[in-house]
Amino acid sequence: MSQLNDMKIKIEEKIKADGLDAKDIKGKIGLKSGKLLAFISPTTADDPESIAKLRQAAKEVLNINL
Amino acid sequence: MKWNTIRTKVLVALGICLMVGAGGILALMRYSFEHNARALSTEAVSGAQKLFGVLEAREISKMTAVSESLLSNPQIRDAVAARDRNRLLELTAPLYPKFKSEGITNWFFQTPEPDMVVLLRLHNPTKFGDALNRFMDKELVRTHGIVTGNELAKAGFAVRVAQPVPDAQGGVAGYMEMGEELGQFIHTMKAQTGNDYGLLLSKKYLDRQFWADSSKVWKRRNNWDDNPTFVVADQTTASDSIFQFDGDLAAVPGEGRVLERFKKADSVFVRGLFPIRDAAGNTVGAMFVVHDISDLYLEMNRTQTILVLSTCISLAIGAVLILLLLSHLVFRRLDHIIMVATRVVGGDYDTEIRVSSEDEVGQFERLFEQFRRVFVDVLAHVPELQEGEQIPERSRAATQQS
Repeated sequence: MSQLNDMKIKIEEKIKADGLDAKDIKGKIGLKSGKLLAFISPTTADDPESIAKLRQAAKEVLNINL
Repeated sequence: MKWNTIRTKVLVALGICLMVGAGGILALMRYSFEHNARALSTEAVSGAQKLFGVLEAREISKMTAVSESLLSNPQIRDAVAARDRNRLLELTAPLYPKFKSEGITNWFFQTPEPDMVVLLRLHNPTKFGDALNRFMDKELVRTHGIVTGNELAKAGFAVRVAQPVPDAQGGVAGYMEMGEELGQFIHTMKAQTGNDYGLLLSKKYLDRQFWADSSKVWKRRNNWDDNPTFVVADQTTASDSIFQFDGDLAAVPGEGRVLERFKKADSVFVRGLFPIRDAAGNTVGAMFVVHDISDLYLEMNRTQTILVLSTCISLAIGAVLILLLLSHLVFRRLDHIIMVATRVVGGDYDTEIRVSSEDEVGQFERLFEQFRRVFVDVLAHVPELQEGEQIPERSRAATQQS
């Protein structure tokens, strides 16, 4: 399993749980991390830089620790 | 508040404009007030000097006329020629109260040179036989004509008219002099102008003991020690503090000098002084002029407050209008572009950017909408995306059309 994909799933779960606007939140996280969440799939290769950026963006936008 | 937003920068710029505007108005008002206060002060000094000159000329003219009519009386001339003090007193004493009520406080006769001593003082009949030796006396001897001018004497500082008393052979039987205390002038001047005045006399020309004695005669407080270089001979106000001056009276220029403005209680005054010269041309004193500019000061403060308030209100209204205009023309449209861009990244490929105007922001909206369509078209051809999230047909079609 891809760690990036796991993080994406957790983000989507959080959005759903909080009843947030998914497109808006995903857009903000995508812009902050420089990574389109739509491009992340179970086969997406992990790289430390992308993971760190996505973690940081999720923290800033949703205030969650991934 | 974010410091790097245009809103904040515009607000800061408007705040600076407001402060500069209010500061500029304050500075202008202050300059205008200083200018007006100085002009009023100069006008008060020059006006007082002119008025003093007019009063002086008027009184000299009056005393000259009185002197000449008195000396046309042969009985007075004979009494002077005979040095008959009692006869002279008998002839002139009934006139003195009337003259005094008209301001002629000093009136005396002198014997001719070479001894030239006081024969009779109408204002102090028991004191006689002393020689005065003043500049005017020397001028009388030199010219044997009418001599006028200001002269300090034991009776005080007065504007005087002195002239020879002719004898039956056309020679000089003696001299008669009349004088009016200059201190009296300042009360007339106050009545005419409303300003306060003080007559300052330089200590250099006075004697401490003489001043103490004359203070007793004139029933005034001995103020010799009040100031280091001058005494206040007379004043129109009870307050001594407004006559503060620590310069040299002899250095006051002929046209007078404007002094600093000062506040006392709720009142604001401008001050100045002009020199008083004796018959010999020495600057023996100065006339202090105090002009109350409280009304002008209050009016300036009121106008200043109104101007500053109206400027602040105008700039505040202007700031709100500018911010509303900027919000309508720029900020809301930029927010919309940011919102659409964010949603596109988040997977919303349907929301379009509305081109609301053909202005600069409108051109940017059009450009960004074109960019958004290209971006959606690119996404439509990315295999990973096609597996996960579907690009709506409408968006694809729209992209292809553009």
